[in-house]
Amino acid sequence: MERLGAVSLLKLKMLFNFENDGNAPPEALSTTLDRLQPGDRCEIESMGVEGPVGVRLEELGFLPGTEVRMVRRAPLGDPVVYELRGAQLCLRAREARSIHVRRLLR
Amino acid sequence: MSESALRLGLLGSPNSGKTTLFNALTGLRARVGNYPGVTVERREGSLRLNGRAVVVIDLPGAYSLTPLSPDEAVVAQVIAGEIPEVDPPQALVVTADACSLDRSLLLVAQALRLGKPCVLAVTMVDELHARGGSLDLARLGNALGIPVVGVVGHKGLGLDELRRLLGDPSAWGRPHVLPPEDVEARAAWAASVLDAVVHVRPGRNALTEAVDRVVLHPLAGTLLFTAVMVLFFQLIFAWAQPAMDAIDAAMGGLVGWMHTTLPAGFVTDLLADGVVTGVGSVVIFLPQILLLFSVLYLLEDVGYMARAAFVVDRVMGRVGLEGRAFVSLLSSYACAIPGIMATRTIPSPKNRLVTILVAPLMTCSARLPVYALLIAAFVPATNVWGPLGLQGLVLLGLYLAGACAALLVAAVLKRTLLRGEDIPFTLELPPYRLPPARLVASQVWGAASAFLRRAGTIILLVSIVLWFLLSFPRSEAPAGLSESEAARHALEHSAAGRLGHAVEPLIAPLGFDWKIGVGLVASLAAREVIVATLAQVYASQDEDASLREAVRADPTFDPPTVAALLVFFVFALQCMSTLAVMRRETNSWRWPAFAFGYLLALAYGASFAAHRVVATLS
Ligand SMILES: Nc1nc2c(ncn2[C@@H]2O[C@H](COP(=O)(O)OP(=O)(O)OP(=O)(O)O)[C@@H](O)[C@H]2O)c(=O)[nH]1
Ligand SMILES: [Mg+2]
Repeated sequence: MERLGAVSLLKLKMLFNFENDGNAPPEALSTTLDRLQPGDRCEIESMGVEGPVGVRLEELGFLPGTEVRMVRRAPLGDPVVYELRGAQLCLRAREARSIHVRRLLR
Repeated sequence: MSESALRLGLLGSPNSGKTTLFNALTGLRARVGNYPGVTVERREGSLRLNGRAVVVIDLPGAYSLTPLSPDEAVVAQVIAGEIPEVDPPQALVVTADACSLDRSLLLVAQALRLGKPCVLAVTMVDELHARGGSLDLARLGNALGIPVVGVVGHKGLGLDELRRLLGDPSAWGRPHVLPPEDVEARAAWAASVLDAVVHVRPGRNALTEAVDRVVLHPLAGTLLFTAVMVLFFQLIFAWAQPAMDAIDAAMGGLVGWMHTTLPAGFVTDLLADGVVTGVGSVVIFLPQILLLFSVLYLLEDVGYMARAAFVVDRVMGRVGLEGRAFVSLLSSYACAIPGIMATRTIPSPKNRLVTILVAPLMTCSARLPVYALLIAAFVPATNVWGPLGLQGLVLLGLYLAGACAALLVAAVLKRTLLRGEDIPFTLELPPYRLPPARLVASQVWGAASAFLRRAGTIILLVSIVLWFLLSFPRSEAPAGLSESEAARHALEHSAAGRLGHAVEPLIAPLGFDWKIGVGLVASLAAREVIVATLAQVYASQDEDASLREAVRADPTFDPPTVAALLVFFVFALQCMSTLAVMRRETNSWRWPAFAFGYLLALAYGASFAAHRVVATLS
């Protein structure tokens, strides 16, 4: 029941926003990790971080197909805690911006 | 004997319970804490299993065998046998947190590819069950091709089974097929392994979420943190002072007893006025030290440190550092040495160096006796606002001054000498854990005994040397002096007195006299030695007064001079051990020399300014 409500609410929101702005739905399904709000869930589509840091993020579990939940923002706005693969990790927006994700409906 | 010992390495992600397991197996008490990156060095412990000598090697945590930070490099080097004179482990005990196996198996895959015999110890199975998860360990073992044991190290769960296995690595078996090397392929491999093994995934950690909602709330969290800190500094005076006074009285009694009971002469004077007075003047600060370490360890064991790093990362980012540097700085509140060691978790070499260079500015526990003595003697014990005492607030101010100075210097260094290089910040936030009371107690006891050991070694030694320097050469006092004037004359003409007079011109602008000069020179060995020095200087003039009363009665200690002395100790790097560790961690004398120089210059400048400001105000 609850789940159904959440889904239709999101659809409604999308519809509402879509009518307001004809160009693009702001709640786009495809976005970057830093755009998520607390509680939002997504699946990683691709990693855009280069070099050893990119490899490290992958070894921390940021891999295509991995489900990620945005947990909360730090009191000063950055970094953000994400939950993935059973662990909570924080990431600054600068890196999160390069991680492409697809939102999952709640 | 030791050649035939079986060497077992503990490999696992940070905070996965390696050291807990190490302690449980070896009976040692290596530092455990709920923060990823507590262990930064290799540590070995031995035990016997089925009559066979076994050496267990505790290692820092690593997310991957391709290192990014110095502590991870230690892991890779030890396992590959690249450290001279250290034999590599013949077999590995790999730890993996039962609640995050999806992630941990990525490292397990790398371990299996090394070709060494492996056992998998699945830790935190108690937490898995508490969160409603369940897992088939036997099937996991079949899927991996190696033995798998569920353990809870500090409760002893699964240890018998693990011990049985550890005696004989040849019987462990090897994986049928090696996992892939590429990280994406490893993740797919992990998923397929877990598919057949996991019955129920653990639910959310309700306790951690509830606590974080308060602790990480912008307003509630900040208020809570401020309240805890203010309370802590109040307690240092309100609670610890009575205990301290009791020890002080006992020490005074002991010195008096020695003088009346033991035969008068050289040896008694050395024991009473040198050893007991010198060492005792530092030992009386034990209650404060206990309180300080209880708070620090509790915060770390509960899981607050990682949150602190998370909260201040933004501020640290402004400075040019990252949240992890903040945790190193927080550890430096105990002592700069573990703080400097903790920088090994920082991936960027330049950021690490900056953190090492500013760590001595954090108020370490060796400054506490100096601050506590001067504050107790010169700051009135009045209440400023409600129950908030002025003494506690002044102490809080000194701690904040050190922290602000550390951040400012770091910002300057990052913009000048050590510019550039910005490695991103990632940090795992562990769940909150209730530390076993026994663990906290043994850690605090460990810190207390280290403090006492210091008093019994460095401070004892310096006290004895100082006593000789303060007593010899004996000079003939002019006739007609009273007893205390004669004592003063002897003191001023002793070797230490002459030394003090020699440095006096240098420190006179700060309001310091030759007595403080002797203390400052002696405190280059360790900061709290200045307390021992002053205690001896005053004891030779008047045996009955406590040190606090003696400095209060000395006209040299006027408000500007007390302020200048406090400020001097905020900045100056008077600690041989810190310099030695800096040299080891940076591989050259250049950086310790630089740190010593810039901190001395800062100390002198700020101290001079403080003297002037207070002199004009009062
Ligand atoms: N509930 C529970 N807690 C555990 C278990 N094993 C370890 N802990 C706790 O987990 C935290 C981390 O344990 P450590 O033994 O320090 O972990 P580590 O792997 O040595 O960590 P690093 O040295 O930082 O890499 C501590 O707070 C331990 O008390 C376990 O099996 N169950
Ligand atoms: Mg450890």
